[in-house]
Amino acid sequence: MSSTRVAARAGLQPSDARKGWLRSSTIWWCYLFMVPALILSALFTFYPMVMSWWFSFLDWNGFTQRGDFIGLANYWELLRDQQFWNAFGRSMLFVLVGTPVRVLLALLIAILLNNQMLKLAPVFRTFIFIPVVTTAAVVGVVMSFMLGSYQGPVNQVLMALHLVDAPVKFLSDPQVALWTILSVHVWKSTGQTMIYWLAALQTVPVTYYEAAKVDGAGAFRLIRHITWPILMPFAIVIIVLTVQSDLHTFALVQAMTEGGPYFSTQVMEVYIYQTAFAAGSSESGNAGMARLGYASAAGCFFGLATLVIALAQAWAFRKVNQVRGQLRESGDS
Amino acid sequence: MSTTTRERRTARPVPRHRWRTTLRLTLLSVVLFPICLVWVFPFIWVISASVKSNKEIFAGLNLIPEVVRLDNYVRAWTEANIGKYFFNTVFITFFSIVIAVGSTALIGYVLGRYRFPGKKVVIALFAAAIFLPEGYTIIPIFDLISAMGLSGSLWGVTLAEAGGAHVVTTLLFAGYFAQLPHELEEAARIDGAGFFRIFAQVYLPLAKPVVATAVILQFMSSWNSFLLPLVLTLARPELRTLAVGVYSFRGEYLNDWAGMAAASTITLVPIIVVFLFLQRYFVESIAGALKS
Amino acid sequence: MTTSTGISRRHALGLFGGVGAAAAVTGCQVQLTPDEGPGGDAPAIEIPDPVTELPTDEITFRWLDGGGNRQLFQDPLFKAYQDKHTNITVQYDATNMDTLNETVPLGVRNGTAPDVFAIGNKIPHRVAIDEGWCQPIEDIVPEFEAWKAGFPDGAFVPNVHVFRGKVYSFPLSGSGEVSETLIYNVSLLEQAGIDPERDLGTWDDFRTAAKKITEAGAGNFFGLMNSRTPVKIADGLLHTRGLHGPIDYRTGEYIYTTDEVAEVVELIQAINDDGSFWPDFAGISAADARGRMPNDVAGLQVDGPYSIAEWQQADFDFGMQLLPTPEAGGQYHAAYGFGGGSNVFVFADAPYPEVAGDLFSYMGSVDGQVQLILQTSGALLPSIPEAQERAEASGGAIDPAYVKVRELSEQVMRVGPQPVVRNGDIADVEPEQILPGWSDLLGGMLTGQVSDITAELRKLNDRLNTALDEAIDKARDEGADVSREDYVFGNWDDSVDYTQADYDAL
Repeated sequence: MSSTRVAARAGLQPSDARKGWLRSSTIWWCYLFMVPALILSALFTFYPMVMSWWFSFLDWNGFTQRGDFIGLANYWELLRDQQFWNAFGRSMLFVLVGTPVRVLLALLIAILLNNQMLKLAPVFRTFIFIPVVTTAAVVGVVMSFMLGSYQGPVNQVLMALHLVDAPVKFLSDPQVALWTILSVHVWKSTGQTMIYWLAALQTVPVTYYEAAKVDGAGAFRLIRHITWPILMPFAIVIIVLTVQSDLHTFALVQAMTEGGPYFSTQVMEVYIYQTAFAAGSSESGNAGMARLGYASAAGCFFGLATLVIALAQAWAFRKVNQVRGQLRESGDS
Repeated sequence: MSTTTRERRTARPVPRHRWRTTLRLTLLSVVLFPICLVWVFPFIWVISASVKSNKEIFAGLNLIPEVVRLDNYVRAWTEANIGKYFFNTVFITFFSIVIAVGSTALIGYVLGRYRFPGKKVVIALFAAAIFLPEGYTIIPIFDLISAMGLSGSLWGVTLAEAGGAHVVTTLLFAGYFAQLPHELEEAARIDGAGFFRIFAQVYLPLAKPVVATAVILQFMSSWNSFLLPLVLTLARPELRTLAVGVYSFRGEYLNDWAGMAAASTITLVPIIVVFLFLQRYFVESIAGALKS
Repeated sequence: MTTSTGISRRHALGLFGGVGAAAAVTGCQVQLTPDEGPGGDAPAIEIPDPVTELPTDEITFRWLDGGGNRQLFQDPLFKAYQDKHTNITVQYDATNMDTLNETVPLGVRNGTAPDVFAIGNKIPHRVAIDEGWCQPIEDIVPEFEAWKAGFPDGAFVPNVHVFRGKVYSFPLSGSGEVSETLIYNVSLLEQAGIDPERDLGTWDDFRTAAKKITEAGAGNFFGLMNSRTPVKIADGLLHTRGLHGPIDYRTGEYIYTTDEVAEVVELIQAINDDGSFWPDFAGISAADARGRMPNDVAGLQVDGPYSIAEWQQADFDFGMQLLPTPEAGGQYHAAYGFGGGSNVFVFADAPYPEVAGDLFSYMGSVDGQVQLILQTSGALLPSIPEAQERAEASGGAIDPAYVKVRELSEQVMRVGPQPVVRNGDIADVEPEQILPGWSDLLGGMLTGQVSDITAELRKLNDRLNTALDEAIDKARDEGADVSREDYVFGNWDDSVDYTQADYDAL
């Protein structure tokens, strides 16, 4: 039974699929279908998550068998740890600037490249995608070289175009370094967000567009009235995921600057890694002990804090809308 | 299918602005091309580094060295065992894709199309998976795989890679399946098909764009994964993956960047090929299926 | 389904094909074999027949350590071993410290650790031994007592190789490699008119030379190379001032508020103000800084002899000599201790300890030690002095660069006291990591992020002292017999080795 024959028989426009058959055998099938994913989630997402909460209550270096339970002591220490809060601030900055740029840029690219008639679109999409799958360590080295202020290619181009007079210290100037890292991160990960948007755009049926075009709608109206409403649930998830990804950037930063110069690019994951393994930078030679429990607490605390912030924003957003709605009503009456 | 669609398209009156559209698209291509080249310039530089000697890499800007050092590739393939690791990585990636995409398609299907008791709980769980904070999780995953007796085996690494709550793909599947017309199911039931057959033979084939996306996402994640494959294969080093091989060029005192660039390029080529290949599924949409 | 994507794919393939053709047309040479490394003409290693029973099945024996110069010896050694014992495959992995620190504990945790591994530098080795990670080698190495006697007295150091009275590891190579030398680029110094023997003797000379080289470079090359932190320069200069940190074992106090440190900091800042540092230093690591030297970017560098093999491959014409001293004609020494992250141990649940014992037996024999020298062209010092004489007598090729390193090492390096050797319980003292640390502050000073270095160093000193005191208290609470006194060695003269007799005399 080919899907085309079935489609021909049914042969109609997309309709609302909210009605579901509630026969009991169907319900059992539903549960059955969920079993594989739920088991995998339980084992590899929820169990490790809960265990990491447990670790955060331990004084443990991660190597020995024993780890002493110390309750919230790690968290109290975090509150007083200047290094932690600095890293927190940097990660927040990363997200506040990086996420909107990444999401919007990826959306723009996805819309541009979603066009069936653009012959080279698959090639372009692949180009945008390549940085995503290049190993972070390799990218780190390449970009460190390219952005170097001493005879670095990017600087040479900038100076040749007379855009700057002296080489820009992309990675060695503490004021600039964080923004450089952010830009490289956006460049490297926009391709992934683009894929999400492309997939989301696939769910918009082409017939909607065609019907609207016949009605004479221009590009803007199309996007506002057709694309956007369908995309919105995806948009929320994509934004959330991009925020997550930006908050947890690690490999690229570690490869490019190891958090330097002088911690100016130490974002939260780098801080956690350097604490968990007392890594410091490669030649700091700090004779510290690894503190896995503390690092786990830092991760949990950070996640919790961002969650609280997100919830606060959502609550504030709703409040603002409520007030606006009330004002409008009172204005109308 | 597509032939009929195209016939139908040309059967309509040709819009007056056809040539203008083509011009616009060509202009767009011309603008996008150099942007894309700049976008991937670092990658081009990596390829160039992979055929230079270590000293030359930082020496200057020229892309093509005087002596093309293909021995970097030989070194990567033999000394770093990239050849062996290639097979391991293919195995792990393939099966983790099957497991991950399969399980998310299944759950996405029922979440998108049916109401049942406990549905809200499951959705809340997935939301929690994204939002809940987590600390250091390598050790628990490691313990789990070891406890299952799967450390030192390709299946252990596969499971570790495939496991977890894949919220994005689940959502994509759910959203996509939700948009598909209900009538298809009714028609299939009339034909006597059961629940699973309807899923497998009617709806899943229509979800090709999402399947392609899910495959790409899992591919990316599995192909470049480093730490878990390394620690899970300590007992059987011949089971290591490509990413481990690439990182092996980073020593304590010196870094063999040329070798790393070569290994990295070898690692990169398959995923680009797969991505290019899967693009065709991005072009299809629901309308194409229904118009026949 | 095929046409639009088909065309674009064909377009893409055409593009790449074109580039390839262009490369071929320009007539580039292609090299398929690697460059020659050191030790290429060393004599073949002859593995003696085993004394104990070795496994006869097809097995894989695994060895994991931090690599470095040891690889130059261990790679050919394991190859020869595999040739002799065709059923044994030796899987040798040399990786960096961070990876080692992460993977070894996990491997121990689930029983899959390699047969032989290095413990890394983030967990005190005694803690690892107490946790049962490793087994003593006394029962594994055949004819252990005779083998052990072949090493000089004091070669097996408590809490480095010997734990709780049993031997767990052995010294593969001699310690005491010079940690900071003055490296210079021969041609750049010539261009600037600097004579290394005459113009680099004192601190003032050093600063002036750096300035002159920078001026001669006119933006193309600079005086002094640097990386994210100038800590090597600082530590080296401190040695020349007679101070060895972070704790001065003569007084048991941290050093960061001393005058010597202030002087060194002042000098480094002055060099920075002169503009003599390579400008992009804040963006690269020390290893990368060494990697760049062959590109003629700077005339001088203060670092250890870690990249000689790399430099020789790049045809870098360099020289090494003693560091500049505060006054002319000064002499100085640097203190070193044994251990570090590079000793290897045998896993408690190793599948094939007999193979480890067989290998150790050879590596610790005179023949093995001679090969150590020859295969590495002298990069590694032997731990059995007789081997050095034999290697030289055999006419084996020893690289003059390593001869120079050995000369410098003999001149400068002296064994210093170590609290953990004096009192094993010190291994239980775990002070928390203080960030920003000495090297961080130095780096921040140069980038301008640390505005008042004196105040910061004072703060650092206080925090370090507090952390150590707290750690000592905690260890005492858990039963260790330790005190701050363990860090004071009143009878230490840094110009001579600190021996067991000195420990006993305390």
